[in-house]
Amino acid sequence: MAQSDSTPHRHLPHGYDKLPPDFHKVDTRPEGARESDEYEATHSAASKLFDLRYLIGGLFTVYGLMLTIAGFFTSDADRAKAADININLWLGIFMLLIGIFFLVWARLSPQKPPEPNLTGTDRPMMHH
Amino acid sequence: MERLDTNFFDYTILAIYFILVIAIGVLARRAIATSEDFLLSGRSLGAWITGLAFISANLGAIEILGMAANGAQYGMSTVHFYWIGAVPAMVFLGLVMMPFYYVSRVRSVPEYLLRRFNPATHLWNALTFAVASVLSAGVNLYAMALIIEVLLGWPTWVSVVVSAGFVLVYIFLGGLSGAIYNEVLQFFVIIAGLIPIVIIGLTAMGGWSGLVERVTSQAGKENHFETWTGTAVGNWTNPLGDWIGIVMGLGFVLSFGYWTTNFAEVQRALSAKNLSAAERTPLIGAFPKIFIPFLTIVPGLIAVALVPNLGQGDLQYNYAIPILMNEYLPNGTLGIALAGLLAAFMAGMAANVSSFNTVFTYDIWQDYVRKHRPDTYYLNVGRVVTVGGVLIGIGTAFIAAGFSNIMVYIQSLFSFFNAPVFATFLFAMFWKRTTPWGGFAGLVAGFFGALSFQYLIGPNIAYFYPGGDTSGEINAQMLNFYGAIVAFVTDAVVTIAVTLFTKPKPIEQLAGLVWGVPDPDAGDPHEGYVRRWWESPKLLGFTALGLVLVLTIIFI
Repeated sequence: MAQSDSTPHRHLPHGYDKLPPDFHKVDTRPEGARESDEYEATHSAASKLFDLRYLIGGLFTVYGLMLTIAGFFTSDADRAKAADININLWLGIFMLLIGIFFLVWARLSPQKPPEPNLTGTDRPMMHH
Repeated sequence: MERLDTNFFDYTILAIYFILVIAIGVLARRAIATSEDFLLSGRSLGAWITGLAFISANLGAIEILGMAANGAQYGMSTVHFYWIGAVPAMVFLGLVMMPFYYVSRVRSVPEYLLRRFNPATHLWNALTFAVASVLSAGVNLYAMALIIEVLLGWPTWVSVVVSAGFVLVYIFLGGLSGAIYNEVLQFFVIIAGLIPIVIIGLTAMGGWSGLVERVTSQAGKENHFETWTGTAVGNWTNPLGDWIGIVMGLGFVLSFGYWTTNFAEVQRALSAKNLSAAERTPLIGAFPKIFIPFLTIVPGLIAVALVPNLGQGDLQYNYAIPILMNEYLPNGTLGIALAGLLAAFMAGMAANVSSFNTVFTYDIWQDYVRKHRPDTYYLNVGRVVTVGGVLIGIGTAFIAAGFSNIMVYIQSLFSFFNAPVFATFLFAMFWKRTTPWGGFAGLVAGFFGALSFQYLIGPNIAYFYPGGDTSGEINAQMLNFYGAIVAFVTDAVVTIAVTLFTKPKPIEQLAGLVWGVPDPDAGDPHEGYVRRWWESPKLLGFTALGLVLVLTIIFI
């Protein structure tokens, strides 16, 4: 059912047939094709998918801050346990940097919505 | 194994993580309008996301704890599961096989077999994959509940229901995007949790040389840092057997079978936004895979240096990483490591559920039960099947609690279905004469070949016992590797024999599915896409292989 994207009704909502009668003159498709329109009315919403980088960046920034602050209050016992490394401080700084990296990356090159991939999703399966 | 010394700080870190897991499901919900949005992420994801999800789907907690256990028990030889046993297959998938999967627009691995062969081959593969997926979801769920009980003291049924509930919510709402986004997040958290263990552990051991000395001075662990020692055919002493088993059985048959035809993996690449991204998915995944041994096997070695009687009595090898968490990590860092481990548990199950619902919806329900319905119908089927899959998983987990040995047998039974699949795909893609019934007969014969070798023939061969002593315990890895070789050879011989006596498919029906038979309607898959030099699949693939070669020589 591959129709070209220029077909005017492709992006119209349901109930377009309630529009003025002359509206139908625009539709050049045969009656049969219009019937099946109901099946194709749903379009992929994949372009609305949020940008994961903000989420990773946010989580690592929060974790990084929590650990870094905790790192300033490390007890001697905790330090001795971790082979004399103040691991909360170091891991906190490391995670904070990763978090900031993701936030800056997401900010500098925003996610582009994918190009409409008509050849893909609309192509009938061979065996059907 | 003592309980972890967790406090309020660690539980706050855990709580934030679990809130985010649900948030991903809720936010991804908006991006779902069609069944392909739900089951294949609308084929819209970028290569770095699908690449990290590709590796994360395999980086379940069972894998992490299991590889650390292998590291403690077998030593550095365990790297064979990563370097020779994963990376070459991932590169092959990206460079050679992905164009067939992606350009033919199949929605699953079984669907390729339907178009290339016939419904019989398709059903055999789809049904066994579906059953194996829910089974391993359940068995993993149970294994995880056991470990959480030891670590945190939560009763098993609480962890089973709670973690299955979280997985259900984020897949039911967010579909494959929910699963993949959680996998990528989990990847970063588990890495952040494992790095401190390695750094502190190595410091406490006095560096790498200190670790080597403390392990190799123990009786029976003298060769723990050598990977190819004792692999001579005829008189092997390596814990993984001889090099034929490692190279052909593990490196070729098992590895290629898993990484190139297991739909839980391939599905991640199919969700990529274009062919270039799909090709790069396993290649990008290969780079972390090369270095993960330093975060799993090395902790196993540190644990065995710290606790020489690891593996005896109640102190299972599986506790290698938890022992180190308890020993070295202060509260806070401990919470991060715990969050990573719990996330990995859920991601392992989510990969099973999200590939199960796609195969069930498209390959079983749409092809054989209810054809030609509007897409919304299949979207709803996908949601219902997700609930069903999780419920069956919970049920399997409780059955496993009562009959854990039986469950392990059933699970290994299903692994035999997988052993010959790669042989069938090689014939399918590279020999256009291969007939539909040749493909089917090969798969079935390969399954029975693997099965009978594992239980009837192999256990009677003295060569598979350490020192040739049949009264001792058989080398299970070696039996497994050689069983895979038998499955491959049986599949190949039967496929060729049946093909010579049956009718091939007309060549025009194979367009886009077989090497050298392009699909005239497919167009140029790279059209309109300007590739930057670092995005070249060949460059990525051969760099990964080169790195593996260098590391193999260093750790020989």
